[in-house]
Amino acid sequence: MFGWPLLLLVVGGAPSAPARLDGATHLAAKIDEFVERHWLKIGVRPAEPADDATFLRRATLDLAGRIPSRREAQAFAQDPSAGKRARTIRKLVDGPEFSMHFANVFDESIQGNRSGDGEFLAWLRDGLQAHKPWDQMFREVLLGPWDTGERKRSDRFLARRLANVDELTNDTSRAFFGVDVTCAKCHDHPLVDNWKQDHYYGLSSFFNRTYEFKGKDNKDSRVGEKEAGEIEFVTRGGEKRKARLMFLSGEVVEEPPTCDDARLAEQRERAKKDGTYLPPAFSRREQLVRTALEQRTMFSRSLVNRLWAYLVGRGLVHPIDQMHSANAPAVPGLLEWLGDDLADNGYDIARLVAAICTSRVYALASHWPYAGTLPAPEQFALAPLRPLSPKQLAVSVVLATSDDSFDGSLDGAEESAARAEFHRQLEGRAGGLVEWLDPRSDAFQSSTGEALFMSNHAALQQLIKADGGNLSARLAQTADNAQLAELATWAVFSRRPVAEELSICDDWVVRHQADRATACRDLVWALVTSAEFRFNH
Amino acid sequence: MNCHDCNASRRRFLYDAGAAALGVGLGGLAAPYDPLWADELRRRNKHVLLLWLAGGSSQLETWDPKPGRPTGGPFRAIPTVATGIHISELLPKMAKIMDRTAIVRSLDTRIADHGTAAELMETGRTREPRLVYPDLGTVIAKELAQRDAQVPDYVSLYLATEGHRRPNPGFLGGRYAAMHLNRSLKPENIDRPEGVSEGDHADREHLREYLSERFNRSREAAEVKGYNSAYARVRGLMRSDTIFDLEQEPAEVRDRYGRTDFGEHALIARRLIEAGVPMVKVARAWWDSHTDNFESHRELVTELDQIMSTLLLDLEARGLLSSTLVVTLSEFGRTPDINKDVGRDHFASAWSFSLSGCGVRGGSVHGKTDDDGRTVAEGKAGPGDVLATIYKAVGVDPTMHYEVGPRPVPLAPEESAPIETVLA
Repeated sequence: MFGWPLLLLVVGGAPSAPARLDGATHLAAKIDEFVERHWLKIGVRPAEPADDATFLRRATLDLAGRIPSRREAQAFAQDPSAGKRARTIRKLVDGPEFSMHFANVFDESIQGNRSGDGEFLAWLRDGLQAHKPWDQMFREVLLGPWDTGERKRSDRFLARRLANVDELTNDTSRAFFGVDVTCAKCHDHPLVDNWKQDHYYGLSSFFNRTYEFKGKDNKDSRVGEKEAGEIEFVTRGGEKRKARLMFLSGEVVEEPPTCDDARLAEQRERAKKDGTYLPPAFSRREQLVRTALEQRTMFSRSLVNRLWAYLVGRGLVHPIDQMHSANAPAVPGLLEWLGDDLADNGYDIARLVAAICTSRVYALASHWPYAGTLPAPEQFALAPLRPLSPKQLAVSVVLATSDDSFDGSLDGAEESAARAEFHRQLEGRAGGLVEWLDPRSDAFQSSTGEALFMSNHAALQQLIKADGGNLSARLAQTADNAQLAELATWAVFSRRPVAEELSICDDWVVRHQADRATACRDLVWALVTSAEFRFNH
Repeated sequence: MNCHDCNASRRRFLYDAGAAALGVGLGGLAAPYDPLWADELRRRNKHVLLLWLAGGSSQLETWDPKPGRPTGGPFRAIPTVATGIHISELLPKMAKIMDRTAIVRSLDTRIADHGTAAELMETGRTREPRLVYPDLGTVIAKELAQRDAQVPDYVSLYLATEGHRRPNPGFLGGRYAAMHLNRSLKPENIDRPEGVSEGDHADREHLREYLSERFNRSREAAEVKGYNSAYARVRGLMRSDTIFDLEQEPAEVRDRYGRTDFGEHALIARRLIEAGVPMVKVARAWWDSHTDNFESHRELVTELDQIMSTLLLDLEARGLLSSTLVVTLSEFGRTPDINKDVGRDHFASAWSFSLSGCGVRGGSVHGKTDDDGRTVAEGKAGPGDVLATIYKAVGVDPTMHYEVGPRPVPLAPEESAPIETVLA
C-alpha cells in the first residue's frame, strides 16, 4: 500500500497543477485528519484503498461524467509515478468536461423537479468554466442582474416558480440552505425545535412580493418585485399572525420605513403608464441574499454537504435537506470546518471538489475484505455503490462500445479543446438513450423499463453490433481469446481482467465460435449491462 | 479466490446457461411453510382497475344528479335496479347493473388545480419536496404482485396529451413502476431485437447475470440484487406480448367495447387482468368542460356508460368481477354553478366517485350533498379515505406502514379511514 501523506507531498509540486487548486492538497489532509480521528474514536476500521483502475473510473465518472476511455485507463495503469491520483483529480477538475458535467449536477440540485432548462444549464456551464464562486452564482440566481440575454439565463430558477410563493420558499431553502421547511408551513416542526411556522412564513416573506412583471402588450416578461405586501398566517392554535422577515437562523430583519416621497410616487406613476419596470425601494429578496451571506454558515455548509453527498455517496448530514439542530453531522467538526474554509476562500467550488476527491475517504474500496458486519453508511468506512445518472450511463455505454480513437490522457490546450468536442459528440450520440434509463434517487431501484430497453431496443443493438471499428468488431478481429478478454474488460470495465474472466471469455467464444461476430456482440452486451458497469463502485 | 473456486463457479455458470437453454428452471417454487408465501396466496388474483377520468368529470351529470334545481342542468335523473338510487339519465346501462356498483357522493378534497389534485387523489396527500409518495397504482402493484410473475405488475394506458402524467412510484422506486403505454397500445421493447436469436438472447442474459453476481460477491449490495431482478423479469414480460394484441379478441367483443381509444384500452385492461396483472389504470381525457359542459358530457358520459357497463359484465361473465375492484375516479368534480359559457369549472368541495366489484357492497351509496350540490351534507370523505377504501376492498391493510428512512409512512394517511358503508 502506498503512503498517503507522502503522496500528497509529492503532488504539491506537480508542474501541471493550476495554482488555483493548490489549497486542495492541504484541505484533503485536513479532511483525512477529521475522518481518521472519527474512525479511531468509534473503533471502525476502514476498507482498503480502491485500486488504481477503480479510482480512475470513479473520479472520471464523478468529474467528467463518463468512464475513462480504454487508452486513458491503460495509460493510468502504466504510469508509475506516485502522485498520479492527485494529479489526475486536478486535471479532471480543471478540464472542460468538469463544467459540462457539473452543470448537470448543479442543475439537478438547484432546479430539482424542474431541471433540464437549456438556458439555465448553459449559464451554469459558463459559470463553472469561468470559476464563478458559489456566492456569486447564488446572487445571480436570486437577483440577477438580468439585463442582457446572457445574464438573463440565471433567472430561470425564479421565473419557473413565480406562480407559487411556497415553491419559491421551499426550493430556495432546499437548494441553497439545505433545509426542507415544508412541514413548518402548517405546524411547528415535530422534531426540530428551531423550525416554527414563524420561520416558514418568515422565509416566505422574502418572496411574497416577487412576481412576474409584464410590460406593454405583455412583452418584456421578467422577474419583478413589488413595493409592498405582507404575509398573514393562522397558527395551529388559531391565532392570526403577521409574518416578520425572518431568516432560517431566526434572525429578524427590520424593514426600513417607507417614505412618502413625492418624486418616487411620480416615478412609479410614469413607469406604470409606460409599462416599464421599476424596482422597489427596498428589495426583500436582496435582503435575503445579504442576510444569508452574512449569516454564512447555513449557506456554506449546505454546499459542502451537497458536494460531499454527491462525491462520497451520502451527506455528512443525511438527508441533505435536513440540516438542523436535531440532525448532527456524522463526522464531528468536519462540516463546520469545511464550511468556514469554503467561505474564507472565496466559495471556490473546484477547490473543494478537488479536495474531497483527493481525500482518503473518497478513495476507499467498495468491497469489504474483513469478517463481520459491514460498517454503517454514516461511518464512511466503505465506498457505497452509486448508480450512474442516466446521462453518465448513456455516455459511458457509447464510449465503451465505440471505436478506439479517443485518448484524453494527454495535456495541453489543444487536447483540452478536443476533449470538450469529443464529449459533446458523445452526448449527442447518447441522447436517445437517456430517457429510458432509471434516474438516480436516494433509494435507487431498477425498473424493468430500463432492462427491457437495454435488452431489446434497436438503439442499443446498433451500438453493440460489430460494425466498422467499434468494440464488437475489434473483438471479432482479435484471434487470441486472452487478448480478446483483455480488450473487452479494459474498454468496458476500465481494468484488466481477472483469471476467472479470462476463462469465462474463452468458454464463451469457444462455445459460440460458429459466429464470432455474434459471440463478441453478445459478450459486449453482457458487459455493458452487468452491475459493475451500472454503478460507480 | 483460488483456482479451485474459479473452476467451480465457472462450471456452475456453464451448467446454468445450459439448463436455461433447455427451459429448465427452479424459479417459482416456494416452500409451503413460508408465511410470506401464504400471505401471497391469500391475496393472489386480486386486481384493481382504475378508470381515470382526467380533467374532472361532473358529478351532476353522472352519480349525483340534481334535476329541477338551478344547478341541475338539462338532464334528468333515472331510477336504477338498486332501490332508491337515481343517477343521471346519461348512464342508462349502468342504471341496469347498479347492484354491482357503490357510489360515494361526499368527497371534499379541497384542491381544484389539475396537477396538484390528480396527485392528491392518487397519493392521498399533498406533495412534500423530500418525500414523494407513490401513487395508489404502485402501492397496489407492490401489495398484490405475485412473486416471479411473468406479467407486468402495473400497466397504465393513456394516449391523450392533455393532463398527461406518468404514474409516479415515489419512494417505492422503480421496482413496481408502471409499464406506461402512451405511444401505442403495445408496450415498448418487448419484442426480441432483429438479428438476436432466441437462444442468444437467453444465453447472453445468463452471462450478464453471472458477471453481475461475481461483482457482488464481496459486496452483497441490495442495489445489485434489485438490478438483477429487473433483468430476470425481462423474458417473462416479452412472452406477455400477446395480451396486448386485440386481434386475438372476437370482432363482436371488440365492437361491444367500441373501437375508440378508451374502448380498446378497457378491453386490453380486461385481458391484462385475465392474465394476472394486479393493477391496471386506464385514463380517458379530457373532461375539463369549462365551456359547453352538457354537450361534452353527453358524449363522454355516454361513452363511459357503454364501456364501464360492458367491462363490468364481461369481467363478471369470466368470473373476475368478484376479484377485481373497478374504481371510477377523477381529480375533482365540477361546479354546481353553470358559468356564462354554459360550462362548469373545477370543484373539489362536494363531488362523487364510484366503486364496483371486489369487496364492494353493490347498490349502496355513501354520503350526501345539499339540494343544490354545493356542499357535503353528510358523510364527508377526503382523498385519504378514498385510498383506505380501495386498499381495504382488495384486502390490503391501509394502516400498514412503509419505512422511509427513519420515518414510518402508513399506506393511507393516518387520519383517514375506509368508507365502510360501501364495503361488503
